[in-house]
Amino acid sequence: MMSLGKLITLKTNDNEEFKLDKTVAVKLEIIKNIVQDVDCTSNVIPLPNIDGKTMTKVVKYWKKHSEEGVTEVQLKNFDQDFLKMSHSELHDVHLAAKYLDDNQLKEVIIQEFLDRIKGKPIEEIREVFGIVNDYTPEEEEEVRRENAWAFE
Amino acid sequence: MDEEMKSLKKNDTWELVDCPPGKKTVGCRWVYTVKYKANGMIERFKARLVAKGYTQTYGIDYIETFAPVAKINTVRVLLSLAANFDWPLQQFDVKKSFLHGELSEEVYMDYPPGYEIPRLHDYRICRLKKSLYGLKQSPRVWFGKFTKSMKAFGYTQSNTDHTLFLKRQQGKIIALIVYVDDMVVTGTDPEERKALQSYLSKEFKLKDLGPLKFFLEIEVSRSSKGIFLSQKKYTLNLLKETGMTACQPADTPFEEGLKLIVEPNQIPVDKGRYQRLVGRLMYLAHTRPDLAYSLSVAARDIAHNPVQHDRTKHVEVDRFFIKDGKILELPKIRLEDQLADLLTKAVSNSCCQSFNIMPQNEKKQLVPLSDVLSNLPDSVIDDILMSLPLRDAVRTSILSKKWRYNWCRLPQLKLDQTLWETAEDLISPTIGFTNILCHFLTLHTGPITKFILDIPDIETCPNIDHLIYFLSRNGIQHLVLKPPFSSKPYKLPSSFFTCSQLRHLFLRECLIRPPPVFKGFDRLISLELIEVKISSALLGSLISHCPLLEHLVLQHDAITDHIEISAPKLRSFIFTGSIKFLHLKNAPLLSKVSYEPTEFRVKAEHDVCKIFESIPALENLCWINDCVQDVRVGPAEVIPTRLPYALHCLKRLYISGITLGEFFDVSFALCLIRSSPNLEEIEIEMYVVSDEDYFVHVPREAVDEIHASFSDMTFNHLRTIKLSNVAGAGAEMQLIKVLLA
Repeated sequence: MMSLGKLITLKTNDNEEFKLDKTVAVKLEIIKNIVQDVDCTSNVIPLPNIDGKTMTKVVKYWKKHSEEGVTEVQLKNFDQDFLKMSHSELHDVHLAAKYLDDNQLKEVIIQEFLDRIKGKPIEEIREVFGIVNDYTPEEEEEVRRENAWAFE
Repeated sequence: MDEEMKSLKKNDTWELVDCPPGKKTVGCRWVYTVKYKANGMIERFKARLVAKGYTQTYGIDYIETFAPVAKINTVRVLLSLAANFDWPLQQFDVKKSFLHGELSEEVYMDYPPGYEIPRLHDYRICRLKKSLYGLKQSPRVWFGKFTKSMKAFGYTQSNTDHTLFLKRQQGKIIALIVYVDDMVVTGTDPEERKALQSYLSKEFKLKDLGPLKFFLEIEVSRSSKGIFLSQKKYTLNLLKETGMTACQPADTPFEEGLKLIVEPNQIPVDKGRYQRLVGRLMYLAHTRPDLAYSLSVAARDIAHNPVQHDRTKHVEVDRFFIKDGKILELPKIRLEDQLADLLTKAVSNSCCQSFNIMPQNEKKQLVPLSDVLSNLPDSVIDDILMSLPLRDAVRTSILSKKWRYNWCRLPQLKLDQTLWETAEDLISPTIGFTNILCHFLTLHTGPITKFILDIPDIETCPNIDHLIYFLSRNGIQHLVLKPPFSSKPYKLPSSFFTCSQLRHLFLRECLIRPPPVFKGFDRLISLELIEVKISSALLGSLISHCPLLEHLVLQHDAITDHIEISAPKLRSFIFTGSIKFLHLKNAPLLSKVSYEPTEFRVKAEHDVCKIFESIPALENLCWINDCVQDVRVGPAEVIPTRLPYALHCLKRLYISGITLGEFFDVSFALCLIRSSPNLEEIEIEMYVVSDEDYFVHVPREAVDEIHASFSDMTFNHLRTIKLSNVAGAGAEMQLIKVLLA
């Protein structure tokens, strides 16, 4: 069953189709399972939780990371560029990676979130991510007191 | 021109002098300009004498050139005040303002071209007393002079904007803002305003332009309802300059979600032109905030700096409350209506429009404020927080209510010295640590699978028994304990032995005295014990009762008795200590071994043989010789040529810290190599010693024998041989020869 055909078609929830080389696609548990379950070379695998815009990114990532003879440095540069996206796009890709059970991509995204937070003052994190401070000044003061050592 | 000459003379701008030797003069020329009215009609023609300031040298002819100009924000605030309190706005223009500045430096200038030097003088050049247009320092000296006059008239200069002058008397206020030679006066005191006008007219040549109409390229129109600002002329000029007068207006200033990318093979645009355009557009954003985001993207692109342009942002924030018109209201704006996004995201014009006309009560959803971070799944937030240092993780509690206790549920934590290093030595680290620990124990909820305690430098060990107790009850699986170094090691409390979920355990400098009923940790996979205090018998028993143990590290200098190790699943073992006490009783799977003996005493052949006897699966051997303290004791002669059993599985052999010129070392290394027919990799990192440090040189005949002793070995699998620090001793060369054969 696995040897049939070379391309696998994935279809996102906004009806965008992605043709993927099978060797790339079956690296992912979920696709591997679907491919094993049904004969997918003729059918299209639906991805009801992912939209085309996000899938484009994911596919781009997969393709680069399964390229033959790609060097560590090239991948590093690629990742750097790849991660230049807005928070919500990052979030979408993360959800997609989670759905597709791609741990590597998930980790990369989490690391990127981490890098965007790390070492920044609270006000900046709020501003960067649009987190709304819903404490009253008294409450905020209380939280500061509660965790006083961390704010010294 | 004549008028200009006359006024220059009247103003006592220069005196004619002979050129002092060594002084250079500044040239001058005439500039003719046409002055326009606000609507673009010609007002008058004028001629002006300007100095060629570009020939001046910094430090000689001038020092300071900086002159402050009015900040657009200040202008806005003034306009807003005027609108809200219905103050009159009056504009003045100082004629030939720069000519009023008094020069402190000596500046010599050529006589104006086209005019004859008056006959009665023999002198050739002018020494400038007052500044002229074109001189580098002109703006500064003018501003200095103006400030002096204003202060003399009882005005105070604002500290926030040096171009703003205020005078308060009898509950009335008058404000003046100056932009080079344009000034706007407003305030509640009409008499004072008149007084100011006449005072300034006396000091300078003042021109009353009447009510404010056109200031800083912004057209100002006033009605009873408020003040309207527009940059029509500016915009039209801009369009004309860029050749875009015929273009169609677009509703959306910026495509939502657009990303600027570099297109390959494009003809590069004129950078200067583009930058100027962006600069001019930025100024336009003062009345058109809907352009702000597009501009920030464009500007960012120039700067190659993907950071939001802060300045733009703040200017716009100021604007919002001014925009309201006559009544200054600061209504509470719902968060989803807060258009902070306006400046950071591309939004359609309709959004901007609806904001402009939005009544305060109407709560319209404009741009959903997507707080991506807070809406991540908890597990992801946990992952992120766990990768942060604990201090930073705890700080996130202040972000918002949702974040307050996020850190408290983290299943993996690390307490180390970085946590209180910032607290200046006011409190002792022990107390500081105890506070943090107490705080942690009070607030943490849920399971803790991994905990690292790393506090080697605290002087006295704080009481951490309750921490261990807490961990033991919360399913700890991975525990790392590095208590302070002290003469009295930390004694593990009885609760420690109830951590039945432990998978990974690292202990340093602890006293382990298990209760009699304790056997071992059923699930322990990895055990690392560094200088723990435990009797050899108990240690052996502990290890033997961890049936799943795969990885073992023992660093145990003070060992004095035999340790019997029985670990059926053990795969890797790192040992530092006296090797003679080590007895591997049952380790059938052990394949990776690293030995760093603190004592290697060989009295008989048997001492060497028994070391490897009980490791049948040995595949990877590291032998690290401590080259500083000499640990090798015994005559080399007792080391066997080869072991009585072959190390069939051994593929990789790494030996470091030995000297192949040393009889003992070379005998040992050769013994190992000869006993391992299937070696694939050999690496020997040698320790270079000077001649006198040798104990026993390899005897000549032993070197000669090396070759023959390998005669039955083929080393068919050998792929890599690495020898570092080769000193060129005979034995080394022989070994290399044999191995390469």
